[in-house]
Amino acid sequence: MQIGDVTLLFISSLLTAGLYALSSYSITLVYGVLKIVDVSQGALITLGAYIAYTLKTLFDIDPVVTSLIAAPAFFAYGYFGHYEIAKRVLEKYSGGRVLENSLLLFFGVLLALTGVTYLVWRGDIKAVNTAYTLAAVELFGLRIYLTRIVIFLYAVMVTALMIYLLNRTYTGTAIRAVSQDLESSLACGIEVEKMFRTSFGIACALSAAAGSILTLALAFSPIIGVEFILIAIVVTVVGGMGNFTGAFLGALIFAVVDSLGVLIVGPAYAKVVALAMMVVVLVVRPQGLFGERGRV
Amino acid sequence: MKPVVPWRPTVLLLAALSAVTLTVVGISRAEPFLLIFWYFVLLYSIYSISWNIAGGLTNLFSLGHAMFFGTAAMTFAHLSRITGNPLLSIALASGASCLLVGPLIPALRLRGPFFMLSTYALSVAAYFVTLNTDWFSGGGSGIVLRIDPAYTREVTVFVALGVLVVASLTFVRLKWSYLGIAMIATRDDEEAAESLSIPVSRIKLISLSLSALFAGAAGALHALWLSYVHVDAFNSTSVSLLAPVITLLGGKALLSGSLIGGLVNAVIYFYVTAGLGEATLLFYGALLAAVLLLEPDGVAKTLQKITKSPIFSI
Repeated sequence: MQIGDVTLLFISSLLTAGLYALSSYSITLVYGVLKIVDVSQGALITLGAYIAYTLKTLFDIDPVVTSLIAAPAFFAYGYFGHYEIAKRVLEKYSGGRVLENSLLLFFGVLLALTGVTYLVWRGDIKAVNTAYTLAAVELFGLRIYLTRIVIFLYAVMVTALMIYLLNRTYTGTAIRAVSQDLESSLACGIEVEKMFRTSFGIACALSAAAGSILTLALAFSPIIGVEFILIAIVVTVVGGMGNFTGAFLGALIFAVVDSLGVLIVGPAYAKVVALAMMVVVLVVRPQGLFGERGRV
Repeated sequence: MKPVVPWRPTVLLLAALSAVTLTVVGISRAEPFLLIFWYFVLLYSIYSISWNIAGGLTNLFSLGHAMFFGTAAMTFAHLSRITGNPLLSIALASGASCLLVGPLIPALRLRGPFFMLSTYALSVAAYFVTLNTDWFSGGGSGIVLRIDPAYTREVTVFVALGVLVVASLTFVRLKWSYLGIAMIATRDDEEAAESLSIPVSRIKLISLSLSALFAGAAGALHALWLSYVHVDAFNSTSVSLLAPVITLLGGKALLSGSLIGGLVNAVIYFYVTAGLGEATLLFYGALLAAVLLLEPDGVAKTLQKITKSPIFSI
């Protein structure tokens, strides 16, 4: 291993971390507000990727543009459709059973939607080719794919947008209030149900955007959402459930550990290292490395 | 007060299962498909009972039972080659799958969804490790077993019945013992159980180990039936998910629930998903969601309310 290798490793980890962070925001947001783990967001990542693929092959629309088109559509789906699923569980179960049963339910939804993707687009591996897919930039003497940089910048912009949204707008403040104290928010006249819906809308929009944008750099099959949601869970658990900064740092740690794993134990076992890391973090610090209680 | 074990309905139930097995084997020449179908009912019932010990009685909602199922199957593959005795190998392999509980011990401290996530993560890790450890799992091509020709399909069905009877008796005896009641107490309220000086961590460990034992037995049995072992068929996520799905469908913490789950899953396996191909995922996912939303207590509970039969309350 040379110095150049390590630098390259860290730069590529940093760039990949953007993608992981992007796909874990939806889980973070939903967990922050409703305290349930919505794994079915993985299916929306898959759908986002396939929509990007379809629009690219049919109308030659760039995935970046697709992500901007898909986001509002999926926001509407989250606001009107996806929340209804969660609402059923919250009504049906109470107390400690909500978390477990909602996780199982969303797992069911994840599998069902992944099955739909298999039916519509078949199981073979697809890839999107744009004019700049193979273009690379020379940076500190290292060649880095342009697509990776685009994805990273996109992730940074989304993160900044989310931070602005949550801290500087009325809706964001209300969402944070609901996540901190439900009863007090009700007493203050916040439309709690609307905030739940909005959070689900934003989460779905983020997932779809993440799915569209990842097609720039990765080939994918319908199982990609399941893979990404597993990564997103590791990232949120490591970073601290329901915490945006934590999710970003968690994504970074995951990316570094993952690439170090590839270097040290080989690609076959790299996933094992990352998953073991999650279990260790869960056991040592169940609230996550950067987690506090009740923060978005 | 000593808990009274409901032996009567249990023995009745097991006698009925044995009678059906005898009939099925008796007419297996005329109806070979029935034999295969019945084997799958028995197999899934064992697997579901195993999950029910951890998930139903103790609320250890494992999403990673394939880890036990698959590893035991691969251990069986090697043991049956070495010992030449499938029955002994099943026993040894299921014992070996208990060893896999070891890495899960730290996760036992976790509750609810965090436990679920760590079992899932560990089973995915186990999938990758076994897939890439060629000498153990045969890698991508799997292992073809050479089983003693005396173990025909008919004999294997009897072996399955034997394992199921042992699993059922263990389940019932466990549920109506101090240990089982401690498990249920742990499930219902961990803090309260702990304050009553129930050794919660030990109870959880025993529960998961017993569960791993029978999941391993199911895996080894299935390896005997197929005489072929492959990572994707034994150690994959869908195998993991099968256990909670069919158990929740049948009925949590109920032996009758596990048997109903096994039966329903065999029907689904042969009549529904056989024609679906890649959409199998869709079906299982939708089924899981539907069960959770429409029938959270499971089929057995509903039947119990309707028939008031003691069979559905064991």
